[in-house]
Amino acid sequence: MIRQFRDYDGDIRERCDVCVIGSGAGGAVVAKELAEKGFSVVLLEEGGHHTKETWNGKPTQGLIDMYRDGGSSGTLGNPFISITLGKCIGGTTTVNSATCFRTPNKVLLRWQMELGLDRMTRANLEPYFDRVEKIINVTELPWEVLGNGVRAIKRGADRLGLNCRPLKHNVRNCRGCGTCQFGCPEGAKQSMDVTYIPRADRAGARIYAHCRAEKLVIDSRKVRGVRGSIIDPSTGRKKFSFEIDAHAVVVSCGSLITPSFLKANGLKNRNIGRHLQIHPAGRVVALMNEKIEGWKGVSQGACIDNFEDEGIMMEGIFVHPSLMLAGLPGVGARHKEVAVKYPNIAAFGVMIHDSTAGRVYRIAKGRGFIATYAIRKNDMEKIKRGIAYTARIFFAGGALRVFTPFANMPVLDSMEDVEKLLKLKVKPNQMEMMAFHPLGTCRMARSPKLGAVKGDGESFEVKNLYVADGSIVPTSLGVNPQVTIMTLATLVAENISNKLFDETHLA
Amino acid sequence: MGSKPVLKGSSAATMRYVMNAIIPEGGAFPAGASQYDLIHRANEVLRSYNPSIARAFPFILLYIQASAFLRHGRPFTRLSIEKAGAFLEGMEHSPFYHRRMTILIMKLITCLVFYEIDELAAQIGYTHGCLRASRPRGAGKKKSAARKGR
Repeated sequence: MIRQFRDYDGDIRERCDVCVIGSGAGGAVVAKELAEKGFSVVLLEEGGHHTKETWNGKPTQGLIDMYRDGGSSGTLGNPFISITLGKCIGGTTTVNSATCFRTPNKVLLRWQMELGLDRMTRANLEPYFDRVEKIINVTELPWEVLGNGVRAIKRGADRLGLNCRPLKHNVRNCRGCGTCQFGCPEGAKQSMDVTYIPRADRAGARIYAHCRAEKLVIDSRKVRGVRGSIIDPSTGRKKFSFEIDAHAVVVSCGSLITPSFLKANGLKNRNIGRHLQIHPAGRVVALMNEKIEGWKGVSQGACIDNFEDEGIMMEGIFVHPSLMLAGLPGVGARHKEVAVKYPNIAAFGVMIHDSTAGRVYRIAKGRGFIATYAIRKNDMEKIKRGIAYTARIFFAGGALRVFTPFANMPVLDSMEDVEKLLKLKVKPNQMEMMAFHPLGTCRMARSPKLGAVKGDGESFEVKNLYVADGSIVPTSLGVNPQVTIMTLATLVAENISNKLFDETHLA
Repeated sequence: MGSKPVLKGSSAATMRYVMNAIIPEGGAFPAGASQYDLIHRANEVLRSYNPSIARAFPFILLYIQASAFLRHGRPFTRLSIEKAGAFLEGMEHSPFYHRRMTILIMKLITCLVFYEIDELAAQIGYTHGCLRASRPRGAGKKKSAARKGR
């Protein structure tokens, strides 16, 4: 049973083997794996529990209910980069596009060579990838479900000799409703809230929503428990408090919250909060000569990875008019002229394998944070090229006009304009940028000089304190990270299990 | 999420006028923001934002008022709806990042609360078979003829 605010009538006191903070791709996996091994587990989540019965698939309610700060989070720098984070049971997996990739081999090699993570080989990780993919049912969908939006770009890619291929998704019986980012109205997306968390629940894990962890109890450099507040979701105010005593604590609050939470609790490792990588992204919107109705089909259906060597990944993306139209040019009559062409619109996203490293700072008390990320010139050039290439593909597919996210060239009318864009100098603050994959702020490494946690996920500073979320992923991946995070979390859970078993056994 | 509305009094009036300028009545489809009470819903969105961003919102609206005064000799809410639209469109083409961000945020809030109403999304051809037909909680109520327009 998942307990929520309405189920609480007073303070909570619990004792357990492992307390997991955060129920996303990291925390849910650890909770399930350990609960199934017979450990007593408490899983805490700051957000609420929403199901297909309670959400309507529309952005506005989705942003209010399921996103941290209504989707207004981001990094400060040149420019502000919006980073949307889930805040609900299932974390960001509940509101992502369900796209699944294994960690690329070259990235694993880099982890081994630069950070001394010798166990991170393809052969070692293979069984963990298999295990995760089986549980979340990673599958390849047929083109009919992949979305009308990808039809246009596939036509262009075929004409240019590029490979537009279906993405893999963690779904079951997906009909292609296309509202993946605001809750799957069919319950087809196999996010944490419908896979790992129900299994953890069945295995006896005690799951508490609306619980905000505030303090780690650390005694003699060993973690002893977690303290925090139960939050009334209607006011955002503290109503009750909780005290969880635990042999081990796993922090899985995501790459932006975890470092500020650890710093707030006195951890000093210099790598905590550094090495933030986010896969900066931009959208390319094409006005086609035909009816596309891009909302029919999964919102992120296909990808073009021909430019992977340049660090550029193109992936489909289509969203509700309330988000799509805000980013297109025009106010008043001109806005309405563009809006009525919404059925003729196709869109595709570009994200880059970034080399820029940002940073997360803790502000004041508690878990408040400021993230900074000043995109480097080479990354900016990469993203501009990616957008120009995507525009070229759209024109080859028959686009009449292409809208870019660049303020100094927002509209392209022909292939010649694409060439002009390639030569154009674009400053970072001339682009409307977004990102969806913050990683690396408590990265794993061989030594505390290189990372914040060991290869098994345990803190270098505090015994039995583990981290399992996107923050331990050591570097940018260049692909969607949820499978990597789940796989690393499975490894962390196995390490905790072995260690706790040894401790109990010896005792 | 705080419990107090972010937009009230003059900031609500300015936001209402911004919304009316972004999506005016008539043109490519008949409906306009002025026909609907969208402020309540906009407040719900803003209350879910990080408090520091939400608190800045009235100041952003004040900036729009003052900026229009400097350019046209009148505050934004005293401009005709066409002039107000043109003024906001000018911000969209501005070389200054903060002006472009300002109009982007305004368009985002406006589009979020306007197009979430099924009948309005349908006017631009968006109909979705999978979604339950629903009216957003307590918002998007069509204004009565007496209250309509300004």
